[in-house]
Amino acid sequence: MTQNSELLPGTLDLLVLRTLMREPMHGYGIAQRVKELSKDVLQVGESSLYPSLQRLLLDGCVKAEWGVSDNNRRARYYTLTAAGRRRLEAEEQEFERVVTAIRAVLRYA
Amino acid sequence: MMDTPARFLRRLRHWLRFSARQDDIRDEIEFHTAMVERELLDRGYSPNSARYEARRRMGNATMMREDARAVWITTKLEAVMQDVKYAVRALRRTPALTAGIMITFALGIGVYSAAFSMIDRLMFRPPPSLIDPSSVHRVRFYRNNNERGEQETWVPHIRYAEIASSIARFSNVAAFASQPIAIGKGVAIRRVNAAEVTPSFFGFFDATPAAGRYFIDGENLTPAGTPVVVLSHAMWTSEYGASRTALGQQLTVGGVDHTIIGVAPKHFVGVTPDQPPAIFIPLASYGAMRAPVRWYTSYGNGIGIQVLVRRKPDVSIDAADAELSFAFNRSWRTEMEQRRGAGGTAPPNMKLRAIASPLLADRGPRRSATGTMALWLSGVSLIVLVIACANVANLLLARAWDRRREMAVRVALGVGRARLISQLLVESLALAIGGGAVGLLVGQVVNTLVRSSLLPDAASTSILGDARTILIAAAATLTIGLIAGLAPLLQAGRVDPMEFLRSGRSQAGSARSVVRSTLLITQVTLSVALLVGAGLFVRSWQHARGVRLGFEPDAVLSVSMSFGVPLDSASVVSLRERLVATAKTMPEVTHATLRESIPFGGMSGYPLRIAGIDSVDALGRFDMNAVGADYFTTVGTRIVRGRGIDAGDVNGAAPVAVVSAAMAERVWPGKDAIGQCMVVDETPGCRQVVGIAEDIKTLGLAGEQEYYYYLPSLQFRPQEGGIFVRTRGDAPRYAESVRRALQGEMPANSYVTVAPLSDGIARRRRSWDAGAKIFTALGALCAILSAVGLYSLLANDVARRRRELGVRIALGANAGRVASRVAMRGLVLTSVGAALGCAIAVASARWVGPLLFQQSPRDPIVYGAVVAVVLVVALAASFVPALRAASADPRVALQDE
Repeated sequence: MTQNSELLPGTLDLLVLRTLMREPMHGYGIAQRVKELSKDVLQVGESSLYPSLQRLLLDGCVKAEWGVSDNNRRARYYTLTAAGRRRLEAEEQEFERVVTAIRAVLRYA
Repeated sequence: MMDTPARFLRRLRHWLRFSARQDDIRDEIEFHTAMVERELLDRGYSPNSARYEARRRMGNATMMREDARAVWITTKLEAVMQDVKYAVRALRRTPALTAGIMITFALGIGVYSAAFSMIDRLMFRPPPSLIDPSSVHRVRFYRNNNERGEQETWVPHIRYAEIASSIARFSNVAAFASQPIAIGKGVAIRRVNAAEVTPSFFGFFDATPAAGRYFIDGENLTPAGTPVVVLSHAMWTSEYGASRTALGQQLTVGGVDHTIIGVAPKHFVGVTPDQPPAIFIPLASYGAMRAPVRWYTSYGNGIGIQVLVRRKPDVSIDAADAELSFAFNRSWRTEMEQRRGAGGTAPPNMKLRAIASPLLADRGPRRSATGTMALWLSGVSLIVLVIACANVANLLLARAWDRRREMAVRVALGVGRARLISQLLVESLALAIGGGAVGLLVGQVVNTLVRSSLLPDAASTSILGDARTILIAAAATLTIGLIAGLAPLLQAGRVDPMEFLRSGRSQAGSARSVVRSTLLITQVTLSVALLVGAGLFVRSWQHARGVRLGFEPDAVLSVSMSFGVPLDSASVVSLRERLVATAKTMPEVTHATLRESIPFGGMSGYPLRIAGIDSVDALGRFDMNAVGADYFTTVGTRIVRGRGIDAGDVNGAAPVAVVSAAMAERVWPGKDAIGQCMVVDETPGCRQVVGIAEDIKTLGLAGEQEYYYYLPSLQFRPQEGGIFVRTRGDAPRYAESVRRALQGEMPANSYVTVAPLSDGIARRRRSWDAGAKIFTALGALCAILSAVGLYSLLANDVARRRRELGVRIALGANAGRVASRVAMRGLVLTSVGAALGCAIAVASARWVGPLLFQQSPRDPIVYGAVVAVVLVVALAASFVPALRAASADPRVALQDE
């Protein structure tokens, strides 16, 4: 088993939203994509992925629709909404700010 | 995060499609699992291990689903829902205890809601559709001539008319009577509750007729009004199928044809909710039937009415009283002038006053026996509620003890105290609500029972259909649910997890035991107090039944005649004779006779003069009955000496009289009354006493000696009164057949009414009858509740000390001793409660005494019997726990370690 890094708190929503930027995806796809892009460093646990999706649904950042997956199974696809885009932008800026701050500390402390 | 409106809407939409969303999440996770599984297969896992590994990686699917779903629930709501679910699960685990608690709640709430519904209708709830009830009053009139103190007095119509025309502080005045009246004709004739009212009566209400119209002033004029009738909605529905064609039809009321002109709206009962009228007729029509001309001309011999007023908005009650009293006094002076003009004398020093009293009769200064009993019932029901509450608290404590380990584990696992408390509260409320719901059903049953014994005349009411009662029941439910839930809460707050987890045993049971013992003693105390009340009422009832009346009412029917069109005297005399003759031909009738007055139905008195005595009145009150031959056999009054009235005592024969034994002794002490002479009323000449009859009661069951004499009906007012019929056995069974037979003899527009002679006496006994029933039923109920409480306390105790008892028995303790110690504890607790209960009963004797009949409220026999019964019940309740203690098995107890 590979060693997985824990996600920084609050970054899960950011990753999910960012993944959905390109195209609508189902939950499994989101988890796979995050894993691939991070070269297996980041793993999105199912137990936090689905609550996160429900939260985003509640906040109106994503929409969910049933569709057909690549292998012809019924899957639930999530699409980013306009509100989701705004949220993503805000979260990205916030993330940058935090990361910059952390780097600054690491560099000069 | 606070919900924005859009967020809230999304949340709402989610809940509206709850089950669909549940499926969504489940399907989604299933899809995910399947994908993981396929991925593993691709990587070379065997199908079985792929499936296993996929499931393992997904972890607890239920939890995930719950978490995902939880997003949509606000946290507090979620917690409560969890508590409710948990509570239901926990309660289902102990069905017997749960049932016990719910039944206790149900009984407490049931009795309470029935009592509330009753007292509410008698005293608080204004009649339906009455406009601004707080400004409406029933006027009560009092006179005081210093001799007998202030007394309420009846009001003739002429007095009402004089007062109504001279008062200015009221916006509406009405007169009404609520006398039952016969409707229909021939054999189909029957008596119904009726309201005889002035047209202004309807102005007090916001009640548009359901059909037609009410009568108007022009239909209520002297001398006889117009024969029109307004039907109640119920009557219209049951007799005319709620058809508009009823309007214009004729209905015979009191022997006179009345035209139906309207229908009152549904639920309209005037001001007598306890006797809902079936018909409304003009007061003038009623007066003309009951007492032609006299009804509006006579101050002393007309019809009695009640007066209803509405205060103008700015008039205080004091101002209203003042004006009413002034008008009353003025009317009185007018009457006195009229009397002096006719050569009479006016009573001196008469003080008069009139007051605007509450509308509902039972709230007024003169409460009926029913009202008093209803008050008692509601007081007792409160006690039952307290006992139920104590019992539930006791059972919940027992339950909390059984679950101490569970609680300790939960505390150890980090469940907050607040959460634990809310959990327990939710449980006790769930029990209360379940019990309360059943309680409403119980209330409906109790209500029916109580009404049939206390208010036999009133239309039945529904508890389940009454928002006010349900609201009160709900409030009571929540209150006792919270209070009873508090007891284990105090306990729960103090749970020390280590105590249980260390040894699995609680050593700290004594504090709880004190609480439970106190609750139990409270229950026993109140139960004993109630049972003493029950005993006293049962004894009163026995005394009341045992009173020697001097006649045997159970087999006798009283027949009265009513004439729509007045008959001349001679016709009435022969009609009465015919009725007696007809009754005698019936196989179910053994005797029949003429009678003028009815014992317990109002007696007649006439001026009496006896040679050698200045004023017979000074000796006491002498009442009279004018009777036919066979009278004494018919009613079962014994002739002590001489003879009764017989067939030979006709008009023209020598005038005779029979006197009661007490009267003979009072009027002619030391002499033989037979052969003495008395002069009755205006009839001149000597009336010879020919017989002495045993004493009878005609006014009340208790009270002073009554003096009584009998004259032959044919020699004294032969046209007045009805007949008595003696049947073979139980009179009420034959009432209808006798009525039918006699009605056949009646001329057109006239009718007979037949009532058991025992009715009047039953009314006098009703308060003791009802008191005995209420107190016995509720006292027994409370005793049972207390027994359940005692049983649970002891059983719990034994369970807790099982190890200790087992060890003792293993060490050679006598099993019988162990058992008797447990039973002793039950008896000691009960005795303390019983002593307190008796103390309470003795202390309240002052208030109970006046309600009893020839019964001391401190009767040691009653107290002794109650204590004995309670101790026996306590012993029975202790029996099983004691047995269990004696058979405590040390092995089982020690294995628990």
